Amino acid sequence: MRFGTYIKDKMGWILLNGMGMLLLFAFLLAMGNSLSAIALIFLAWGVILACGLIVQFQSRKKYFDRMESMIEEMDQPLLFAELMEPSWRLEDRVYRELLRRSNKAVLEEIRRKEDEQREYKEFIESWVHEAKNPITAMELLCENMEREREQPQIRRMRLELSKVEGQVDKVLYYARMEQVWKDYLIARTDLRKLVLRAVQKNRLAFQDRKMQVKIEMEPCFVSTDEKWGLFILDQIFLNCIKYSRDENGCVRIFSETGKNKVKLCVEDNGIGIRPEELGRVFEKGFCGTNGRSGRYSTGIGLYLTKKLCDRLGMGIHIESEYGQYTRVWLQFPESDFQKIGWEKTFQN
Amino acid sequence: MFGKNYVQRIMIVEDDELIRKELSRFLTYEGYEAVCIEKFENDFQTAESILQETPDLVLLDVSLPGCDGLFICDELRRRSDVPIIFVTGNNTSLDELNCMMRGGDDFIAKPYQLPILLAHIRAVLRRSGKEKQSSSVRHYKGVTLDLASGMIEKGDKKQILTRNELVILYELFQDQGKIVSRTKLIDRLWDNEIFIDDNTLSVNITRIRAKLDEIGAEDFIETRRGLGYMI
Repeated sequence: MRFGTYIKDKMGWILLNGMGMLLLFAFLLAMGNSLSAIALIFLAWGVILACGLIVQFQSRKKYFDRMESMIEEMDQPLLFAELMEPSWRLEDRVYRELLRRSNKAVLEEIRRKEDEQREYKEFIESWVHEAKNPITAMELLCENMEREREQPQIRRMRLELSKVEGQVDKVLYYARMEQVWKDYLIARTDLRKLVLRAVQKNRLAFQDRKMQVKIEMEPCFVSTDEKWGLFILDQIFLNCIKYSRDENGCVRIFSETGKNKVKLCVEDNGIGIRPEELGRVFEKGFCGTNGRSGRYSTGIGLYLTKKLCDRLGMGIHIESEYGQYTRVWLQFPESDFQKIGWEKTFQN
Repeated sequence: MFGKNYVQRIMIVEDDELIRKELSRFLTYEGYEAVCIEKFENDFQTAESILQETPDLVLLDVSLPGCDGLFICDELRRRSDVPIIFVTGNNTSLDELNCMMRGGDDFIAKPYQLPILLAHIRAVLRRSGKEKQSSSVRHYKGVTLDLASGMIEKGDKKQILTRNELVILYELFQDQGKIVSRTKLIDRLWDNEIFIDDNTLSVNITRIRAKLDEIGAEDFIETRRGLGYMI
């Protein structure tokens, strides 16, 4: 609140005083008062008016400054109206009451939405778990059928099934993402094993695209959540496969160990990303020219990946040369769990 | 990585009938003996029937109708130290932790990748010392494949094999006299964490042939165009 704006706000009041002065001036003059006496009266009036305005301004400014600093310090500014200090002014009291009523409505609305969202999320989770049983059964059926009779169609079915599975997973992880902090178990994890599992998970798709996977890394331990880490690697591999070249596709995975961190690189020799699009690949719904040219893309995978990485304290960045290669770098914090004596014993 | 003679019993505790049936078929193919439980009355009885079968390993579903996998695990642990792998559709960290705290040996989420399920089974069996080593030597038409030393021998001539070559030859020796398709060979290589493509497989076969020629076993591997290879 500034004095200038305050004066502007009080202009009506000042004008009223001005009009009063004008009338008084005319009256006093008509009564035959001397000009110097009138000037003295007006000076006194002016000083009193100015003092009144200044004092009022000071007290209002103090009041609003206090409230402003309060709202800035609050974790949930939504609850501000509840904490507003009472004022003897009628207007303040009326506004406070109105604010409280409006806030209450907002809070109720938020609560309702939260409930709705939670129910929706719970439904998605239970749906995914239900869906997993038939997927598992079908996978087993296909596997067994293929043992008895090798047929390209069965293989195709298995591949399609693994895609369904990937999509179902994506839904689950999307639903859960907002609450990663509730559902993770950071543990000492063998990064190489994690990579191997992610490769195995996508093996049918890799084989279908006739791709090679070269894992050029030694076992190394990082602190991460296995499940989320696997999902992140999975998304990266899915992109390698989706944007692979038609012949001699190859994915190379290697790691670099730095100070307190391990960097993992997934490099493919696929179609790459245009330089002008490189900065946007993590945006939600971004498909790019690659995504539009015949390959189905929702622009969700990398968006999810980036968000998850942020939440797990991992770095991710992508470099690419269009038509040559794409490299995805993941940076994991190195495991220092030995220091505090925690080890993931149930990991094989 | 390689087969075994001793047949291990794996108990499948799973309420979905189709999964139960297909999983036991799958495990049978993989050289295990699979046994199942069809009735789930209560935790105590289920645990009782599991133990009666004296399995070497239990695949235990967490959510069963009328039973709780975790309580079954408690009951099993109280009376036996049979290895238990939890299988569940719930893959939250809390579930995982819960399973481990109850004395499970491993945890795997549905839908499982079959090679991964197998790897878990093998790892748990190995840890519990229940896996028996089988003979590591295979013979066919005068050629000997020594798995332990990774050698191929004929008469007094020997050649050292790479890991890729060893896996390929092992597969051919397993199915001797039968055609092994390229897809199957690639599958087995991927099972063993050798992630190669079709072209590289051809290169590997050529190298194996050269090594076989060296030890005097020419034309040991036959090519069936469009079908695969056989010995």
